[in-house]
Amino acid sequence: MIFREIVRLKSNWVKYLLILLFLNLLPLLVIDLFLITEKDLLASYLGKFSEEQAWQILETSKDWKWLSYIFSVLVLTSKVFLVGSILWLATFLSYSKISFSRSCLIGVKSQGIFIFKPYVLLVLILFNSDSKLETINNFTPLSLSSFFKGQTLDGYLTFLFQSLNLFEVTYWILLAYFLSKELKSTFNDGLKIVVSSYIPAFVLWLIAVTFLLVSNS
Amino acid sequence: MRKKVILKLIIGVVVFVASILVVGLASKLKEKDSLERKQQAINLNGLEYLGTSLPEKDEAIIALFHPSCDFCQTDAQLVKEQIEQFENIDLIWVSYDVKDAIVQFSKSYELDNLENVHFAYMDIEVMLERYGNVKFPTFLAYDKNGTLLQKFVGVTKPEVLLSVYDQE
Repeated sequence: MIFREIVRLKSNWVKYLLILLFLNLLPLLVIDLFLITEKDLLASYLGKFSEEQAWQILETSKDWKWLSYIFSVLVLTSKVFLVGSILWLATFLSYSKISFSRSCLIGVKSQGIFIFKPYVLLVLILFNSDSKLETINNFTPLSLSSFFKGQTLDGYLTFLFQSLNLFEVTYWILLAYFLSKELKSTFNDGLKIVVSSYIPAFVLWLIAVTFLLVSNS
Repeated sequence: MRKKVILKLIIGVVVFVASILVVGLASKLKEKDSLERKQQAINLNGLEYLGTSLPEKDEAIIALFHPSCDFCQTDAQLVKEQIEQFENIDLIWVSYDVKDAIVQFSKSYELDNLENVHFAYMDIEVMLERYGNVKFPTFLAYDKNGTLLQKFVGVTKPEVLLSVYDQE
């Protein structure tokens, strides 16, 4: 049943997803193709490695750059798909029911809030042309990690603090809003479903990634 | 009725997975913390020096390495090129590899006849117990009181290593 729903393109969540993927990749492509030059990359590698290694890493990273775009497409698609599944399951188990494609559509629409991030990054790089790579590495807007600037934190703490940001909170609110519209119910009802389904899943995800980071550190 | 069962099942699985992860995470963090505390003070026990000289300077850098690791070889080359900058610091290269391989490594990079560069063998069990599952090379820079100033994991240029002593 679910699979029939997924492939049913009549519902336009796939169309929205493609637009989202395009809008997400566009600024990243512009940054990689026009703003970050080989000279910038080489300079950053030379800070850490010997000249021969730096050149080697530069060559390898050029060859594998395309993989990072595919990876970001896969991550975004799976996130929308997973959030859609969670919301669908939550509504299925509660008093109301929405179709799988509609719940994925809610996931895609809410995901739109994160689209602003790469564009803000693009603007920041345009204004900070001296330290482009540093700008990219330190780019965690409106997150808890802003309170710890200049401090060296362990990898898992950095991940936790970066994950908790205002974009994420807005995302929760948007999920609740679109869900309430879909259910023709109050915002409060939508929020209840998000708090009891998406947020526990998000916390579980945070714990799992933190566990992996600590294990490998 | 069926929905209630599914809901209970999902909650059960989520709680179960979450508790396993939290318990695992807590024990890993504790382990990490105890390892970090062990490394806070310099510990030269369990080292079997393979050269003639012994460390005698005030400050010391312990380099955990493996003779066959590429990045360790790069660092050995860089250290050799800038050895005069390490004048007041003992540089102790430690590995659990066979002693012949360690000696061969020191000879290949002409670091074997220097007064302040030492090569030592350490049993793998001792290394694991003291430093955990280390990535090579790892540099631990200690001050004159034997207190850890900074730990560097991975290839590290000599100027970066020495920068911690400049800040003192």
